[in-house]
Amino acid sequence: MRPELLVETARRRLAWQRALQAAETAALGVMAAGLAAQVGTLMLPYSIRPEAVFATATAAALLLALAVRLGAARNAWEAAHWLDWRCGLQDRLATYLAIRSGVRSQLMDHFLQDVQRAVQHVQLRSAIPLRPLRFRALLAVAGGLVAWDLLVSGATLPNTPARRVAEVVRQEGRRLQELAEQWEQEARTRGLRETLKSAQSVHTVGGALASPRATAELARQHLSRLTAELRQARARLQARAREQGVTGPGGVQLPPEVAKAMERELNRLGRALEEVALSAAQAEHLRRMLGQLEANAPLHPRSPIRKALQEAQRGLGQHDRVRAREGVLRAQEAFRELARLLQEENALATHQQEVEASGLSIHQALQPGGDPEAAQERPVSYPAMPRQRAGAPASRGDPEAWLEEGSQYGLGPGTGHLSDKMGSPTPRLQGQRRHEQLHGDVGEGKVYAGRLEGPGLVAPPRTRLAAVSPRVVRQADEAVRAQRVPAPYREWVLRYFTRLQR
Amino acid sequence: MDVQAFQSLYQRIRNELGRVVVGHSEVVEGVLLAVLCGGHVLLEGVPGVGKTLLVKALARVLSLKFSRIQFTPDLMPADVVGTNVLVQDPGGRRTLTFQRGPIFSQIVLADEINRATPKTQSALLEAMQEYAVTVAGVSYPLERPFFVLATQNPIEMEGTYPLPEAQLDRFLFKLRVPFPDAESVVQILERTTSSELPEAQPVTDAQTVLRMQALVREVLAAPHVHAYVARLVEATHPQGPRPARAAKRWVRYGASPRGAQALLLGAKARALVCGRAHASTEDVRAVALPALRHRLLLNFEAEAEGVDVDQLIREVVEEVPEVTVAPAGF
Repeated sequence: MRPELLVETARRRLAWQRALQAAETAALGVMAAGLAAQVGTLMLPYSIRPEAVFATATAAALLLALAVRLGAARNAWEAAHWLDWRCGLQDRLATYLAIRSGVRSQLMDHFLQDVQRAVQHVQLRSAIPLRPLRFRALLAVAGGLVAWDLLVSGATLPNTPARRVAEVVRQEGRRLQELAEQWEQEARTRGLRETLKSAQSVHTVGGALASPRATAELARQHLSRLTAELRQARARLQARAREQGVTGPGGVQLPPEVAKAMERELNRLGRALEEVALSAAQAEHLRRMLGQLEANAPLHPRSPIRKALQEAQRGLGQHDRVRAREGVLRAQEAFRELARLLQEENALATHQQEVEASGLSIHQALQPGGDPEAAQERPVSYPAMPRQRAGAPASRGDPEAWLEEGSQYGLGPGTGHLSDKMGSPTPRLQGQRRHEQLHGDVGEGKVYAGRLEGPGLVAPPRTRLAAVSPRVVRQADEAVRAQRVPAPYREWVLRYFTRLQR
Repeated sequence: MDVQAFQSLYQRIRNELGRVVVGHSEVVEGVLLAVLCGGHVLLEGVPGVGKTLLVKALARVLSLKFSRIQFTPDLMPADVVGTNVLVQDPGGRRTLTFQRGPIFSQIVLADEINRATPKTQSALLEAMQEYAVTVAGVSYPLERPFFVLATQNPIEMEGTYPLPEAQLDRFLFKLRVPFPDAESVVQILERTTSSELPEAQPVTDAQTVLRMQALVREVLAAPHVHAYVARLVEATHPQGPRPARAAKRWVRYGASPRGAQALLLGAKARALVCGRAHASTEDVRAVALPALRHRLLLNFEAEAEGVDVDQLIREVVEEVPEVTVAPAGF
């Protein structure tokens, strides 16, 4: 090989080697920093994933390699000097490049022959190796990152911010678990399949958050995914509710009082149509009632309930009692389905609210100025089912009020009274209550929560156990699932227990 | 003469000297390099380590005229260079005739040069630099090749006159002749206490030595080698733009341009001795100690601390990087 060609090859190879070394240094530096950051999670409340570190290291290595390759072009003399040093050529190549075009002399000829002989023994691959020189160090650091994530991740040191945030995460996990268990029981009792499924998901996430290795980042991922799932499930339920006749793009607009009144009216009409003989006046009265119900129901025109009611009206108009009764029965059936959908949607909204509250609590604990202890003391809320919409009047005393208010229902002030209160007031617990006074504008400042501590009182249950016992419902579910009930009767059995639950 | 012939002849000279001089390979090689460069050598060592023997053997191997001057405090310049004496011819006419001193030789051994007064020491200056002596306005050229090999004792400093910097600078190399090791002493005993004393035989002659000196000056040296030599000398100057740390702390004045010349010439000679036609930075580093050790003027702090100048030069050489930036033209 001619010395010029050798030097040129060495120059290109040297540029690549420098780029490779720069990439290696960058990757090693980033990964070492990542490992140090992982160690820092013992004390500080943040999370770092090895995948992110590896991705960053790869990007840094590529960028730096590209920059070095493009920016620091090696010239021929430096390549010759490098080869002289690496191969022990005693400046032969550097001298050759400098004086190759000089005056020919005896010593010059000797030198040129000497250089030609020397370059024959140069091994470029060993002189300028294109391979990572600190591969073992890279492997060790990468292994350390993975091992830390598998074995140590989530551990925290006592009395550190990281420990306090971890405790908040675990507390939120336990809270979600408790809520989910309660929701599961309620969902089984009411036969709400979507709610049951959602509650089980919340329970699973709560368990993940309550585990000793749970981190804030892991909690955030779980909660975000669960929130998205709940949002999608709610969207599906709302779409189905709209198909059933509920109007409004923002979700369901059928308050529970209205629903109860509609159901009661439908039942009354159904019972009236069961009579064998109807006089013309009675039929006309029933037809008017059906018309009023159909006209005032907050349902869109294509609603199957409305269509069934119209069919029943037509039946009565033609003195066809059986046709009218079938129409009312279909309306009842469709209305029950709609009510179930609304219950499911309300329950999922509650789930979503609680999951988002947990996420917010963890987020507040993660804030630099956040007070993890305050987050821990946040009062646990258990919203009632079904959920009350903001601005809705508590018009429990007059369920038919919606008939008069029509589409304006819920926009005026409430006029109801507590007629469904059961028995005497619950005896108050004998405890010390700490009073706090709030200052400042609404929406600003810290939120203080009082803690009530005292002995529990023993009181008889106010509701029959069998009416609410989830065990009974669960046994029915299992019996149906185990096929001990003949297939044609399963629907009837389930309906029986559903009615029993109501 | 080509490179192979040069190397072969050098090896024969080296082997012949090795028959007489036991050990001291570094000193022998240093002296030979200086001879090939046409420079003078200052040998420093305690008495009895073979300095005079080395010079005598060298003169015989190279077939050069040899003279020895024992420097003493009462030695006068005329005793070195010669003087005009009044001579009366048979006719009774008196004339002044120049009586040549011992300097008129080809290898002059200036033994214990630091014992003579500065005035006498300076009598060597013109001879060493100009290869001529001037007496009473008349210049007398010296026969080439001409080498001065001076010796001095580093221990007995009482009653001595340290060589002035100007004179030190005229020596190409300063070589330290260490005390021989036990093995060498045994060999010395074996060779010098028997009935037959080893005697060096002539290997070459003055004309060949001159041709060898000419070939040394033709050795190729790339610009980066020149730059390295300049950078190295520059680093010995504490007031310079880029002084080495050691030089900045211990040196009062650094090496002169003659030092740079000595470095490059020594590197060229070493390259030929190694069979190469080009000088490398490695050659420069190899001759840095003998070429620079007598050219660095240490400061008071270094004298007080007893700083070894050899160690100081090693630190400077370590600190000065090779020229990694391409010189002009690339």
